[in-house]
Amino acid sequence: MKEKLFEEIMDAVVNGETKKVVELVNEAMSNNIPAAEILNNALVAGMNEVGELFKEGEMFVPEVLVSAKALQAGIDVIRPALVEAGVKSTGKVVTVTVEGDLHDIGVKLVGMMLEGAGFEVVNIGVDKKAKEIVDKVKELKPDILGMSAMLTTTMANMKEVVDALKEEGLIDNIKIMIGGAPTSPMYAEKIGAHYAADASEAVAIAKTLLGVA
Amino acid sequence: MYKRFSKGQEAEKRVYEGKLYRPLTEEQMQMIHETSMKVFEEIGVCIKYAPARELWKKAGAMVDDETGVCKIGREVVEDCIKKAPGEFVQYGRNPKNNIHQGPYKFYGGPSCEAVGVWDFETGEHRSPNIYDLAAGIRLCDALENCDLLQSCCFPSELSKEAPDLNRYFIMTKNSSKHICTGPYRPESVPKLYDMANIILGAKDAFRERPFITLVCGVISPFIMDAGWTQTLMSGIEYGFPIASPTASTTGSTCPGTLAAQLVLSNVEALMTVVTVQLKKAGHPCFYSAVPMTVDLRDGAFCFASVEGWMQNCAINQISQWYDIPNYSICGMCDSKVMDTQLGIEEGMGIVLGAMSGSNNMHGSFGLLEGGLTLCLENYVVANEVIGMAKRVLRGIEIDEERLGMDAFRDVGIGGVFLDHPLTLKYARSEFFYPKLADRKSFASWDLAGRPSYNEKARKMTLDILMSHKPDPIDPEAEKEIRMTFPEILDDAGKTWLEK
Repeated sequence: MKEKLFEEIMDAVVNGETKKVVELVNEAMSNNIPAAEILNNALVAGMNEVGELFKEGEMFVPEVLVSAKALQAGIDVIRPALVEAGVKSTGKVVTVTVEGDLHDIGVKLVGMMLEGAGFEVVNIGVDKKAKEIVDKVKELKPDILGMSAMLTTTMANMKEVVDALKEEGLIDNIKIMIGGAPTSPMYAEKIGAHYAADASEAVAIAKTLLGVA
Repeated sequence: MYKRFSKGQEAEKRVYEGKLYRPLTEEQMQMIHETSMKVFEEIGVCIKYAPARELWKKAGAMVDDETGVCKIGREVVEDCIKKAPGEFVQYGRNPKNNIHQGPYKFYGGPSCEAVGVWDFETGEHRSPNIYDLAAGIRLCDALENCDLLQSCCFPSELSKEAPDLNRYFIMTKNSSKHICTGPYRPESVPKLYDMANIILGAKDAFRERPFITLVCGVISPFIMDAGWTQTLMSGIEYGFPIASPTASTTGSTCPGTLAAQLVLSNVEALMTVVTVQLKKAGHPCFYSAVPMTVDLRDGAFCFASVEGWMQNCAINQISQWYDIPNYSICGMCDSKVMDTQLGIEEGMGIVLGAMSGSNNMHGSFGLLEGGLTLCLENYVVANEVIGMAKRVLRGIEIDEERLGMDAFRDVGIGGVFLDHPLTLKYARSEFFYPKLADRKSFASWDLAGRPSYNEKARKMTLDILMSHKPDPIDPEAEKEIRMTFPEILDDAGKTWLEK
């Protein structure tokens, strides 16, 4: 009965059916199924499936976004219960678009996929100077800082952020991920960061960096 | 389970019309027509098969039985043009593969009798065999943009005296799509008729479901060869639709101008239409011509010259003017390998052919070297290019919903439309998604091991050959065919993977 409900929630997430996800999650809650189980075995499991389908080319970007919205709606229902039960997220990620750059569709998609995988994600906006980013890192203490740039001209600012974090002695307690059209594994290596080609890969890399399954 | 992504396997196949590329004006077509009629009246055409000459004689032609030359008045020609049906069906062995021929409808397939093949496993260039023919046709059966079949190579094991039953058997065993190929011998026609009836399971069933069109040759300039014409007439008697292409080459078998080639092609296409319609008014036949050019720098026969495309598209346009389905070529390549040249030749040829409404556009699938070399990896490539060409024909759909006013209101200035319902609704249907073309960034492509287009095509080809199962022929029917025609080889129908 529980398995069937989880399967239905998974399907609803994959099919991007927000109302149905909310309805089914509420049903699960009213059947006293623990929030953590609903999160991991139904909602996150559904988003993992989305990630796989996206990687295989079976699901397209707009469909992934709609699934992510459905997922969010489901998480909103169980969030109070999760907090009460002291359920920890897989990890905390701060995402940002660097100085001089206003592009954020990609980084937002990454954020949604990471949330789908159980991460806590805080997006701090676009066109952020290195100092602003470092200040936020101090404040929020994330496990991972994810930086995005779409322009080759702004990409250089990523190095500036890494240097600033080093200067402030924060680099050892944080992992850096980068992404965006002009970025590359070579550039990532150069500045001491990790590169992800797309949202699906970002989730895999984030999990690896934090040593989670 | 995931309802949104059900592929809709049984979705009805869409047929597209090509009316976008019009190489000729009305006046130009009129001039070609007038000159053609003059040729029919003054010069005539040579028909080497006496029974066909008799038909022309009866219709009022001036016939010289010594030389075979027949001169005919325009009224007869124009009358036969009117009698030739503008629409007919090329049936599949399986009805789901029926092709409805009609003005502007774009259909494509392979062609020719390649005499060389790039061995799929060893990479050597060698003579083709029955396994290659089976593989080529199997790929045609699997690929959604291959509408009509033709024999793609001449298997070297087959005897020159009696190859036909094997060829057709191999083709129909590997696909239930319509076969559009000519026999080498007129005597094969009644045998093919018998074989087809056995397959369909009833005497004379072929007349209701003629799943083979006979392609008969013509010799430029202006000759209807004896053997081919005998095949043509016999084919009509047994109910086979007829195609009868001429393949003149500028400067050698016709004068060296495009206009003259169009006149010659027109006369030759019409002389067979006339013969068919005089034999049996209303019998389904194509307006067939494959005008090609010669590279006068060294005499090379070109299948992928710019003019060749233009001429074949002009042929299509003239056929539409006459309202007779056309049989012509576009998309065949002169390249010997799958390289940049092939990309250009196949790309341009296929798109132009589609845009001119090619009803039986043969030659793009699987062939190189002007149709003389078979290359199995080239089937999936042609399939992809034809998909793109069809997208061009589909055009840009503009309606209230797609104009997006609601979306503009919802999302506003500076917003993002990626997850808007309008984007979502048309995400799959609005765009052609190529399976082979790589659109990754350099970094992703590099990380993926720098996949090459040709390697992907190879893998896709092998996947199809290993997994695709065509509609089978009834085992009892096959037994009867093999007993009736013992020349059919044991392995006829198998690909090399099934040896």
